Amino acid sequence: MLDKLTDSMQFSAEALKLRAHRQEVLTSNISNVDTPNYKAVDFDFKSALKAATGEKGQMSAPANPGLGNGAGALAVTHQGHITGKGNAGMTTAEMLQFRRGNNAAIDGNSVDIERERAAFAENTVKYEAALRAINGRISTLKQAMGSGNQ
Amino acid sequence: MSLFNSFKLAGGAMQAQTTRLNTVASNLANVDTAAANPNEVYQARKVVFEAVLQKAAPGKAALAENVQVKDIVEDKTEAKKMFDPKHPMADADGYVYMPNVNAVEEMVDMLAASRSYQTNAEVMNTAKQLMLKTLNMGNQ
Repeated sequence: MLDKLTDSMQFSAEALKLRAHRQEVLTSNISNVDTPNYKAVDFDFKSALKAATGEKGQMSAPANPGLGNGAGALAVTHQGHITGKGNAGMTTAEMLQFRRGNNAAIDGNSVDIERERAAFAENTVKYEAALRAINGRISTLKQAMGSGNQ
Repeated sequence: MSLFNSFKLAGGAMQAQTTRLNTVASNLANVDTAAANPNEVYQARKVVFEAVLQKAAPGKAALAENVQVKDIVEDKTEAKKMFDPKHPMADADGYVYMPNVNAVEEMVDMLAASRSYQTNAEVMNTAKQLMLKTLNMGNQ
C-alpha cells in the first residue's frame, strides 16, 4: 500500500530531480560566460525524463536500469553506425551535450548569455511546477487519509 | 545535491568577477602613472578565467564544478611615449612613458564584470529560494 503511495509521486519526483540538475547545468553555463574555451552544455529534458522513469505503467516495476525502454535509441541509417540502446540507464552526466547553434566568440567561449538566462528562468518556473505537483499530490493523500475523522 | 553545487559555482564565479573588478580598479588607478623608461612603466593587467570541469570522457560535454582565475596577464603592447621635458620623470631626451591602459576599454570591462557578478548573485538567490521551497514540501 505504501509502495503505491510513493510510486504515485515517483514521476514528479524524477522530474524535480532532473529540473534541479538542469538548474545546475544552466548555472554552469551562466557562471562561465567569461571563461575562454568554455562550451555551453545542456541536456534534452524530455528524453532524460523518459530514461529516468521508464515506460509509463512500468513505474511500479522494480528498477532495472540496464533494461529500460531505450528512449532516444540510435537510428541506424548506415552500415558503419553502431546500434545504441539509447538513453535507458544513462546517467544525466552522460546525457550532457554541447549546445549547438551559437557561434563561439573569439576566445572560444560559446555561451549565449541571453539564451542561458531565458532557459534559467524557464527552468526555475518548471522546477516550481514540479514541486507544486508533488505538493498537490501530498495534500490529496493527506485529505484522503484524514477524511474518515471528520 | 545539485542545487548546492549551484551555490559553489555561482560563488566561484562571483569571486572570479571580483578579482576582475579589482584588476580594472588597478588599471584605472594607474592610468596616469608615468615612468622614466619603458621597462618600468605600469602595464595593464587582464584576468583569464578557467573552468574546473567535472570528470567526463574525453571530448564529451562536461559540467563546470567551479570557476577560478587562471592567470593575470600583463598587456605587452608598447607604452605610450610622450614628449614632455618639464615633467619631473622625463628622461634625457625629454620623454616620459605612460601606461598602455585604455581607460574606455577598462570601463567596458568594469561594466561587464559587474553585470556578470549581478547575474551570478541572482542565480544564487534563485537557487536559495528553490531550496527553501523544496524544504517546505508537503507542509502546506
